[in-house]
Amino acid sequence: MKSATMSTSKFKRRKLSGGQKVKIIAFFILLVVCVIWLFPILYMLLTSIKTDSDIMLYPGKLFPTSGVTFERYKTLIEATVKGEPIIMNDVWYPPVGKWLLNSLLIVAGTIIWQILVCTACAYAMVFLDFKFKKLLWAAFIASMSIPGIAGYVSGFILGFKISDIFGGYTKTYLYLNWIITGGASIMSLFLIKQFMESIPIDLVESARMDGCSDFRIFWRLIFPNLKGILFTIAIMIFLGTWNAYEAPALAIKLAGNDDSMKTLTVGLFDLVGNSTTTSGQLGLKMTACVIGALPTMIVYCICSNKIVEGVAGSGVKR
Amino acid sequence: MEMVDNSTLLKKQRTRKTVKINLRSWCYILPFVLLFLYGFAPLLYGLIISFYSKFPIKSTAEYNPSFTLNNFKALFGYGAKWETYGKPFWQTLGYTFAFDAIAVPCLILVPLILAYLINLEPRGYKIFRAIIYLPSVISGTIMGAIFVYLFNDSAYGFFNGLFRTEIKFIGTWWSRWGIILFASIWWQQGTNFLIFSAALKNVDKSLYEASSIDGCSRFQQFIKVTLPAIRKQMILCIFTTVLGYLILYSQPALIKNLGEGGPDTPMMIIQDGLGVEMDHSLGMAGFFTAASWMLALISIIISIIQVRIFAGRKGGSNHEKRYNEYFKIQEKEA
Repeated sequence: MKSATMSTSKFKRRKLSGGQKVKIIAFFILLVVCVIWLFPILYMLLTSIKTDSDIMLYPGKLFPTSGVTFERYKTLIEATVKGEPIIMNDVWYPPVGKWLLNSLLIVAGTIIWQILVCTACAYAMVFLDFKFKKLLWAAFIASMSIPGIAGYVSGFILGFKISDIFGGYTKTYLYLNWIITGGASIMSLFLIKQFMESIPIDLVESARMDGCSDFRIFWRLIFPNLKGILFTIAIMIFLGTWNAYEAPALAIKLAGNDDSMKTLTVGLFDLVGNSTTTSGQLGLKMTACVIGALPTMIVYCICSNKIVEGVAGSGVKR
Repeated sequence: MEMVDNSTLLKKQRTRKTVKINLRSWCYILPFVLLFLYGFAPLLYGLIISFYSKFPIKSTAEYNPSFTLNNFKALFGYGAKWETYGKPFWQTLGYTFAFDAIAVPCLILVPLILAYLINLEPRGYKIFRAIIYLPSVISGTIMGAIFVYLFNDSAYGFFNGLFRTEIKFIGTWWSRWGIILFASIWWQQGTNFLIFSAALKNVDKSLYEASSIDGCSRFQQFIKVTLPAIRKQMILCIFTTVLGYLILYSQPALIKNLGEGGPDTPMMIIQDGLGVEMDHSLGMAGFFTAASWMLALISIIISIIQVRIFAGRKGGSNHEKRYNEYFKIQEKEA
């Protein structure tokens, strides 16, 4: 008996070893890749908490040698509270928190508006019947083949011309413009519609029989059922809007490059692009970068499953 | 009589109901459709602008645009603006194509290999997967800042400081493009990686078993079983990556921010040129809209070519086709 079990276990081990060897090789390759992948982020984090003398050290070191400092974070928060830049040791600390708030405002607005617009449209597309439905859907799909660059430049000029009607190219106009025009996302519509089609139509029909109004069906029956996909879409919008650089930068430049208007990503670009480098400035730049990267990284760590779902879903289903 | 009356009444009710439903459903889709249509306004407006010279961006500027073809002439080698604006556009487009020829295969192969390794499910693969996608959630600005200071030419550059060297990483063109390539892979492989790993997970496991019984090596399995199974996702990734890298901006713009030299991609010409236009009102808005239309046209052409290439193989493998044909003949005979 004993020998028999031993022999089977041996047999199993031998049979597995081919696959296990590959697994071990894969593990080590992935380990190396992940160390390389994490290294730039580690560099950013460590530089932000190094003391000035450590950054100045000539044969440089990755890890801080003479203690760590959170002075830069503190000064940046102080500058935010004060509402204007603080100059300390010849380094200009901008009110990063203000930019952060601007970014949050735009992100929140875009998420709410886009989800409302896209869900309403998807609801009509799936559960209601109307003329030109198929034609409209075909137009939506066809429009995806037009590259965004075609209207990139003229979009700004048009926005600038329209701003005259609303009393100038102000911050409110700019932000509202971004949020409102960002509402019609074909990709979000696509994902929501797909999810809605999995809701049994009998559910809607029986609610209609009971005399439930269309809006009530939409708001009370369909909307709560979409929680999963809407959360995923909200995260995707958050990542996209938070990291948007090119278009916001140009629009803000059009508005006079006002400091109070900048989003975090745009502000960071100007801060980093400042070409005079001293050790204090390098520290500040990396600190600002950490502040800019933290929100997305935290959201990613908490909801990485949803992000994986969203990205992979957008790829598999198209 | 009553019956007839009833039916006409029903008909009336029904038509009224359909009209009502039509109106109601348009209430739901109207916001989306309006915003969707607004998205087309810049396209047409851009076409108009590109036929005017000295079109002012700021409404406060003097408004005396006139109809010309100068913007397109400048784009195609005629006129005074060709040397300063048109020529760099095509030159940088050439650079971009050359870069894409290397970058796109890298951005397909690296995620594919990583996804394959993750799919083997070694110990801790979930953590590895999370780390591999992590750089993709960081904004381009931060990516640029990190890489600029890792490879800075001065002693503040991490590698130059660590090894006490004075290598001009960003100063020399080929190493700059190398850094841009590495930064692109580090920053942008995430999406393709996730799509590939989701696709690999869905590959039928019995195919692997069958092929290993037939004596396929792992590499053969990868070529003959895995790749055909994820063909759809492969096409999607190639398609989006090629189009995305045509309008390359963030990586070169940020990495050469502290370096010197002219712009490296057409998108940088447009973006930076418009920035200058805003400050100095040189009357080049028409040219930049023409250039952006040109880029759009090129990307449409590329996408049509891609669709053509991939559509040729849409019917599945040859075996499948023949099998289907054979089946049809049999059905007809029956």
